[in-house]
Amino acid sequence: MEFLYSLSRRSLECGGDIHPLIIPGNITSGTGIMNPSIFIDGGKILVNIRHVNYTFYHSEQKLYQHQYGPLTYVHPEHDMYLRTDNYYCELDNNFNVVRYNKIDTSKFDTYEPMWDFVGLEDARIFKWDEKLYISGVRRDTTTNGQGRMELSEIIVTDNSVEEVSRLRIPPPKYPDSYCEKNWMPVLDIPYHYIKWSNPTELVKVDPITNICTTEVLTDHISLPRDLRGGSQVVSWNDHYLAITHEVDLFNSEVGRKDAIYRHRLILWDKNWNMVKYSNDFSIMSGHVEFCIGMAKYNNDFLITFGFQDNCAYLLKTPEKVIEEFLYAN
Amino acid sequence: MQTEINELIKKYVFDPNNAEVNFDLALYYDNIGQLASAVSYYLRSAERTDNDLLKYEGLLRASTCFSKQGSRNFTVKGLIQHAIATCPKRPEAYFYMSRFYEFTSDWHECYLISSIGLDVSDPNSENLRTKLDYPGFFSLKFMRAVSGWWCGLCDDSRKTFIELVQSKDINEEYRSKSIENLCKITSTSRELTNYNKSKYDSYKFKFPGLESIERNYSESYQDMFVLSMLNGKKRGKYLEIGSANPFYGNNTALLETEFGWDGVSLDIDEKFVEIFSKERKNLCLLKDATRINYENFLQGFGFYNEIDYLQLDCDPPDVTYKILLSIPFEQFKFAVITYEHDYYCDQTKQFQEKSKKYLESYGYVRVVNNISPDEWRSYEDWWVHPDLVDKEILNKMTCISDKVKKSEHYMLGLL
Repeated sequence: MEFLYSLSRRSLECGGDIHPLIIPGNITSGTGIMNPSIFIDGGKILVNIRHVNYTFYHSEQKLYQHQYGPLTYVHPEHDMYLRTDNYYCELDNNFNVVRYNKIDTSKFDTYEPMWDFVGLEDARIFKWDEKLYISGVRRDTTTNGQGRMELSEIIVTDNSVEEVSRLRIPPPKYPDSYCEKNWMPVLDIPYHYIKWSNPTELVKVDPITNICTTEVLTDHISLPRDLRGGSQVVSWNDHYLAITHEVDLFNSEVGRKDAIYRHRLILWDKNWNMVKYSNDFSIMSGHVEFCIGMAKYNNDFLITFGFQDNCAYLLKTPEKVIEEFLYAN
Repeated sequence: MQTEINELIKKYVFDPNNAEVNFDLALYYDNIGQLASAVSYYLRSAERTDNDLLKYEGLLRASTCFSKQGSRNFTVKGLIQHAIATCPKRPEAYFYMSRFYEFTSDWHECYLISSIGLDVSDPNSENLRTKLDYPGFFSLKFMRAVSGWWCGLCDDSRKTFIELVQSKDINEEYRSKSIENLCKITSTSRELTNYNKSKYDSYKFKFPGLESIERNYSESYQDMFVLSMLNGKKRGKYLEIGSANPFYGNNTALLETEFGWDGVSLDIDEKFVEIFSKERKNLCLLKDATRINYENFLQGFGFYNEIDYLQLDCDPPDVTYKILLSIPFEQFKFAVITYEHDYYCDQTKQFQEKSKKYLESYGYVRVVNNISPDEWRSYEDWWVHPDLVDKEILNKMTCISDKVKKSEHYMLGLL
């Protein structure tokens, strides 16, 4: 794993910067804050940070494994649920968190969770039609943990941030599919997601009828692993750009599950042909990293990612590093 | 703050497999309460070094992060176990493990681990790079004493607590905890250590009248001390502040009943005063001893300038000291004073020294200090005014040292 090229290292070498995204520990009880998503709203830098009630225990080199294996989600022993809350944050120009509000979801959380994973996970933040949304996967509405992407509008007031609508999106085909997640919202095309990257599948959601249809489905490209979703899809140089992830899932020698995450930059033309993809890379040399946020910011990209499911970071990556990664192969 | 962590993260980005860099970043997150983040980097640090001490410290700190998050006992325990396996000769992890078992009331495991830790770990292990929540090697002994009690090893537990209280190596917090525990585990079986005739031969100073004493009443031989210092004086005068029970543990009962003393006793507890009035001839008044003008009071009761005995025994220690300050030592001299400073439970540890300075300023001489009913609870110093006692007796009875002195050992000349 350590041989993988580090996006953060190259970004810093080329004049980029990196910042921790932190919600005070007395608010979070010191459990994981992870998988932040970023959106530039005019002059404002908005971030959604996922806070969980657990701490990810990962013995990457298998030397100090947990009783349950090298990779374990350590939740409270009196609470078997893995719970997610989302915090709406605003950053100043130095990328410090200057405002944070737990998003009030009480209007729609009126049922008892029916599955171990509770809450909206890995929510991307963005605006469509001047409405501010978060969109991620929820698995707590059925007894088998069926995952569906949800689209929630949030309203920000001086003292609170409230979820005011919630749309549970059906998949375009296969209505009984088990888990739909990590769909990547296309920032410049309202109500469109890249549902899957290889083959690229662009879907459209009608927010009124809640019908989801496939708009584009391209041919499959030969790559060693599946390309799974990641950041939002941003427009760049007359193309679309996103960061995807791929996972090596494997068992340790004694049969305990483990994983290594890798990432890729993907470039599509306006017809959703994948015209470039980078070599796989690491963001910050951790085995478990996850990027669900990217935004263009002056001559840089701001990339937000979770590290080992326990930390949240913002990486300022010069545009030329993106080009370098894309065109290295 | 933000700058410092940014720099640490940048260091990490350029050298992600450097264990020290990972540890420093973990420690920063730890210190600002970002415990999950800290865990990730502590684990990375532990897995990327050949330095066992760094591994050990990271693992223990990670366990503490989970402990602070609460309700993650399996994980806390597992990390401590990793730490023990990494450095089995260091004491900290044994303390963490035994404390873990204390929290979960697994007393036999607690006893086992603290005993192993005491036996195999090195009390003089080199310092780690950061200060862990580890008070010192004595804490393993403390954990063994605590768990031993719950395992039914009561005598061993008491003995260990006493050793801890008397140890010079223990810190004040654990000394106080040990004393608290001793109070709890000895209170049910606490009995007065009385004098009786069988002890006559070994009595240190055989004053006139000793041979006729069948038994005394004080908790710690105070009455016998008074009679010793005053050579068995008959018909003396006393002021007893904090009399409590008229006989059981009382310091003036023997003086009154066997030696014809007269005096006044004070207590704030109505029940004691009531029973005292029924069972004793001398007077006992229901009074708040902190609110008395003692000059008027003593004159009103016909005391002259010299009084044979003053007892000061009111809880807590600051109250006794406050009363001491209100005694008119310019007008009245007391031949013998027994002063209860309760050093063992005085959180400030000031009142023994304060009372010493104060009494010395009036010319009083401390005959014996750190008197205790047992071997660990220093609670009284005993004083005389050298003008009013025999010098030879004073020389014979003087015993000053840092040691806690069981009163009976002192009075029987066993020290």
